[in-house]
Amino acid sequence: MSDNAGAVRAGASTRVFVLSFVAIIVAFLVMLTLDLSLAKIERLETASHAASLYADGNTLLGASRVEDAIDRFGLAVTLERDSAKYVVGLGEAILARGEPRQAEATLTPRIEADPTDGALNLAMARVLTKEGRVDDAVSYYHRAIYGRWPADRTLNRNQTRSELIDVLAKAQRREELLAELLQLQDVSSDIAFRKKLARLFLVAQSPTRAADMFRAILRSSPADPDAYAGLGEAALARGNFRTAQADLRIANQRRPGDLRIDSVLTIADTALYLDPEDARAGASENYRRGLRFLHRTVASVTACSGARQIPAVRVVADSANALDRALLPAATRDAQNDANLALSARVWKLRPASCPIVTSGDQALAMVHAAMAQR
Amino acid sequence: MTHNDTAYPRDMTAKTIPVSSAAVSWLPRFLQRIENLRRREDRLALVLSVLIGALVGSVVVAFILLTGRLASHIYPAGGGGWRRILAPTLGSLITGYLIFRVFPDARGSGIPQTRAAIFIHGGRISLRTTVGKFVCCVTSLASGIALGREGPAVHIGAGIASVVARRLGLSKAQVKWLLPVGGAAALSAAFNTPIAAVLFALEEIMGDMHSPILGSVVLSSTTAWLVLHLVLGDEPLFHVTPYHLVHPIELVVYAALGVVGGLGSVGFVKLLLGLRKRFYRLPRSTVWVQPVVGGLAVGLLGYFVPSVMGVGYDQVDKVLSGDMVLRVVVTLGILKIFATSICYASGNAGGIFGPSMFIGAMMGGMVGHVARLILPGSTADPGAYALVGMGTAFAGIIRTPLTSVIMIFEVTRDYTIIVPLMISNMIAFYISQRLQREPIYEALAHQDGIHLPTGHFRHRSRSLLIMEAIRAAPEALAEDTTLNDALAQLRDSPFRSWPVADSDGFVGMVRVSDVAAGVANGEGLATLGDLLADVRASAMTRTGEFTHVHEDQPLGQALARMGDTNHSVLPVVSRANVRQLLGIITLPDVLKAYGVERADQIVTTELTDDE
Repeated sequence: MSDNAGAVRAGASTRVFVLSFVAIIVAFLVMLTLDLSLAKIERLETASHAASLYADGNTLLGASRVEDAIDRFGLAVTLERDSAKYVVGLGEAILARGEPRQAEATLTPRIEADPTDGALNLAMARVLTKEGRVDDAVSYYHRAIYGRWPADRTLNRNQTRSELIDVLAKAQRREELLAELLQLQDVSSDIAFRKKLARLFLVAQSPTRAADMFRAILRSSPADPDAYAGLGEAALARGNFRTAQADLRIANQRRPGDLRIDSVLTIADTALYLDPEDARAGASENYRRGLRFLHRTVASVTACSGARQIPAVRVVADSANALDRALLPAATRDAQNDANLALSARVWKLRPASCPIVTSGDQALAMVHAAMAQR
Repeated sequence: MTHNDTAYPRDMTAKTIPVSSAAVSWLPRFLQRIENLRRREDRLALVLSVLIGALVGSVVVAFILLTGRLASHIYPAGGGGWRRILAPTLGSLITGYLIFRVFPDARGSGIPQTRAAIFIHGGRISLRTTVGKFVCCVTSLASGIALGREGPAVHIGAGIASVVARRLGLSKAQVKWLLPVGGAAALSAAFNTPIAAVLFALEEIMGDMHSPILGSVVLSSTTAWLVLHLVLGDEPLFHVTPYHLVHPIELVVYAALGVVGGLGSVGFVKLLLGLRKRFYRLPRSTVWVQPVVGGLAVGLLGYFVPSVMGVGYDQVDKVLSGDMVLRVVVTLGILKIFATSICYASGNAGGIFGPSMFIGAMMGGMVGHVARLILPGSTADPGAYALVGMGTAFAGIIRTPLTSVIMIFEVTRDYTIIVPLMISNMIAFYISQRLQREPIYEALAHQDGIHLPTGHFRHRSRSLLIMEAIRAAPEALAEDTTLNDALAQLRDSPFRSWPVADSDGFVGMVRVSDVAAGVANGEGLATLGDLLADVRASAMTRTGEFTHVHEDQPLGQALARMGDTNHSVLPVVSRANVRQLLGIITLPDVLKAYGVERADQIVTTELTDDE
């Protein structure tokens, strides 16, 4: 009897024990559900607050209130540390304040945490460009191009490449520029974009590709003066001065008073006036042009050397004057013309590298020399 | 609907029978397993550690989130400055009233209360106190009171463990052991440092780094940390830049930080205790309104310097990242010391764990800035000093140097910070110990009229060894001495037992009463060896050896053995040779070693009665 009572008591106490256990587990689950709900609400509110701060920051940055913008972006970053967008905003605002090193310090930890983020790498590339570290900047531009873009991947990549192209053009890094341009040449049919690209091909010293693009533009927009001007510049770069003159004249007619077209046309006119190997000019005309070309070359080099005239140039100048005065028979003119041109080339080589080419006359002279070197 | 409509088809019913019988057979087995679990204390402790860790973790996370939610409603973005005066004043008024009327034990930090529950109240923390602590601290901290959440979280965690253990019908001893388990889980979730939480539970709450509850504490701390990460993700509490030592001279600067941290800690503790003493002198009827003084003070400070309000971890984050100028660092450090002292002293609910970190970070930031001015190029960013300063203040104020080192190590996850941290911490700890004898939690408990056993006392009472109470053994009687001769020699002996030896050494102790009994029974010609053989034959010892102790054993063990064998004198023998008698230990000697007055008389009386 007492055994039974003991067993009943033990059973009852086990039941209480089990029920208490179950109650603990239920309490935990209830608290966990409460926690998860509270955490979700907090995350949503924090994200919304951070987004609003970011939007404020962008507005303030647009209004050139850089300090306030930095404050807003900084708060947004504090709230959402994982968001690359807010760090980029902060970095760009600091860059706008003129502190590229500080901007770099802001971006670096985030990039280390997420090295493939496209926007972060682009921001870092901009900062490094501002610091004048073009090599590093180019590397970050490439990381941005091949990095991860959560939305509008192609558009962002092309825009980044386009920005990289501008940096390369500005830094006169022609080979890298050409490589990037080739990647972009078929991405868009937008005329303005294609015109920009064609011009950059000229900068990258690829006038044939530039001419092809300008011709393609003219097919879809036949009266476009920019395309004619571009075509003229491409011809000029290739040493085809007559064609250049013709295209630039059309551009000038289509858009009279355009200073750039006028200036390039002047260069084309001068180059044609000096070109001693123009197939359409006669032999005597080419001989005269050769003499003119020699004189201009000597004058340019002498002017450039100033008081410190190089003895070799002086000797050449004297012989040029002598040549000018001599009236040669037609039979020896061709040979003499060749000698004049060779002399011109030798004098041009004596031109100091630091000597600036400022005037359109000098530009034309340089182009003729370049064209003759290639012929 | 007819009866047939509701009846199961025959085949279906047939299928349910085995299921039902399976359930019937499954239940007793399950209940049996539960019963087995109940009886196996070690297994139950492990299961409960995980359960308590999970429950405490989820409650503490709710505590953190609710405090944040409430604070964001009290202080909405763009809210007026008047809120900063009104909210803490009202908050302290509400919590003051609640503490006075409904939750009298929810006042203050919670760590002294947890220790009192363990060492004085047999592990009892009521559900009401636990709920009260939660409600009052959420209200108080959300309103901007300049106190911390970690101490209250420890109290809440210990309270949950106590309630759970009592509900499960565990013994008092088991309930007591589970309190630090709950406390560690709470700290792990509140401060996101699971290892430091384990150490804190052992070093501060238990005052014993070798406590047998280590395994349970580790389990609960880890479980709570997992819950925290499950809910709040991987976000660290502080965002710190990688630490590095710029120049060896920095170690000198870190030593200077230790001095500043030690002095600052002492200043903070003395101010807090001094203010609290003054509040205690006020009439009892004002207790419920006293917290308003703290609330109003912090409100007025917060009106001009908002950063001084609340726990202030966002400001700590700023100083750690070096985004704070020297003037602001100094101002915040000084104001926080005052704000926390007045808030705590006036009886608001909240702890000093978090504010200690804040004050330390500001002290470190200040030293870092000054060092940079004096030694530009040879010192790290002020943020690095702020980081070390946090640990330094913790070592100086809370007096748990090991916990503080591990805590900062856990925050940074950077091994290189350990050396400067240790230098700075030890100096601060030493200065604090010299200038403020009583650690803060013990002093606070003292002011409340609670005399907690100090760690030193507990350590000493556990570590008193037999060698401290041993006395020289009297000359042993030879084994072949007859009982008649022995009784003649022992009649006037001050001891109830006497050593016996043979030619090879000590062989055992004979009770004087046994010798006398032998003589009275007409066995006076028998030898002491015969008597000992009889005793050995009837002894319960498994090895058949005579009862003895060693000099490096705790005194408590000698007492226990005396109780088991009914000997008031025990032989102390060598561990290398049990036949070598080193001395004896008597009950009066043991009592004297424990500091019991007039032990001789007590025992003499007892001896007389006994015999």
